[in-house]
Amino acid sequence: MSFGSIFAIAAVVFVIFVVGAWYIGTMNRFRYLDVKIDEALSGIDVALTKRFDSLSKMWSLAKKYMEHEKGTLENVIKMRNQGANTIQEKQALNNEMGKLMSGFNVVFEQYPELKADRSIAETQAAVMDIEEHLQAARRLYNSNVSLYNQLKVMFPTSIVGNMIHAEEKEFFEAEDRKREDVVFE
Amino acid sequence: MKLAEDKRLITDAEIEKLQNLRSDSIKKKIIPGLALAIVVYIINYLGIIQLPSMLFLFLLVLGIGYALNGLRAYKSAEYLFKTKLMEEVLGAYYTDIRYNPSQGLSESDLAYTEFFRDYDRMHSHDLIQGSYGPVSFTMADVKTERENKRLERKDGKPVYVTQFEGQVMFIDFHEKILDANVMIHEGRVKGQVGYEIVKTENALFQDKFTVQSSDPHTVFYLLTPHFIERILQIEETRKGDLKMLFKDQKLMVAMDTRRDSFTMNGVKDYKKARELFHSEMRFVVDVVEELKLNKDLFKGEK
Repeated sequence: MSFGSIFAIAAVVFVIFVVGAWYIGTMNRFRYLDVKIDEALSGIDVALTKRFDSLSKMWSLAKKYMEHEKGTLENVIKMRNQGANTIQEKQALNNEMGKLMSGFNVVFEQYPELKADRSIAETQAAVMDIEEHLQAARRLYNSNVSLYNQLKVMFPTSIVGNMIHAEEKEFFEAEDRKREDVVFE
Repeated sequence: MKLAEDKRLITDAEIEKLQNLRSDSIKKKIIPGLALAIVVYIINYLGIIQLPSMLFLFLLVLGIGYALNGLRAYKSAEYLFKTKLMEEVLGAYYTDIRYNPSQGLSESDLAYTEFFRDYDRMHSHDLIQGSYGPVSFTMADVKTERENKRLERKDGKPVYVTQFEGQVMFIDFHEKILDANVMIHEGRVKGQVGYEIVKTENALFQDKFTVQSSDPHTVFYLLTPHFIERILQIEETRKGDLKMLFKDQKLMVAMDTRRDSFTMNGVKDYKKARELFHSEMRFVVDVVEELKLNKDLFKGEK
């Protein structure tokens, strides 16, 4: 075998090796982000559960003032019992809990004696902290989804994405009420 | 921020007087004294004039003594200026102040910050402890050096290269209870053991800083969009590389300014020195105010 043929074969093997290594690396990157997204999603679940628990506690402390919000609470309980498995379901549950929280805020403004109650003040502080954790979980999830979707749409990683049937993931949107303009009355 | 006239402990007239005292000690004592000693030595060495040994020694000692006296006056003016100015500066912003120029942070304090790992020797001095409102802090000047094994002095002693020279601060941080540590470095750095690099959504922040933590969720919990903007504000108003670590309800900050605080080296104008010292000492105020550490998020302003 001549030197030229050996060189050509070595070059081809090298190129195959590099392309193969790149393919495996990119595929692993997709898989890694998949796991990170699942991890972030479970973080959202934990935050939603904590939010539900703290809102339930708030309800039990202020229920006699909250009769008109009973329908919202029933919606929340129903959605929770059905289980929120998809992103849309989690968003819907989060939105409904957001409405309940708005209801509480309205009641607290109407009845200042409620706000002065120590248990309610502590629960309110806990709810605010949980909301911050929920925002953190949402931003972490969206950050990982963004990285995943970038890999999916950009060339040449999109080639690997198509080969492994990767699909674009949905972002976890902010609550509807938080995206509306603030109304001053 | 300009300090109100009535809070100034050292007036402009006093500054001018001390400045004149300093320049007079250089022009009228140090330089003439040294000149006399050098001239007498050279004259005697070259044999231009053969001075009797007693006279030679007398003139030499006179020249050196005169220069040393001038140096003493120079140092005294500087010391007086510095201590009065420090009292003014520290008293302007902080309470419960304890200052020790010869004390500093210990090696275990530095190890706790996790900013300083591979150094061969360190010095720390000018320890200041105090409070800004409800927030307590401790700060000191720190210098760390690493031995440069590629260079060697003629006498065989090792050559040291400065790794860090600036201020290190420990500030109370009770805003949030964090489940993990969060470290923020200015510029690109390698991930530290036990930490992973976390990217936030703010592109400008990502360009300027590297964020690390063992828990990405804690990074997003701490670094809200508002908080990120405030850190960017602090970075814009300060020279020198900035490092921050949120750990165990404390915020640790290291500013690599390549300068000791409260030093008069290279400062000729005392009025500018006052502005510089105020600016340096305001850093804790800026951090506390920008990051709102003196406000309780849930219970309203303290």
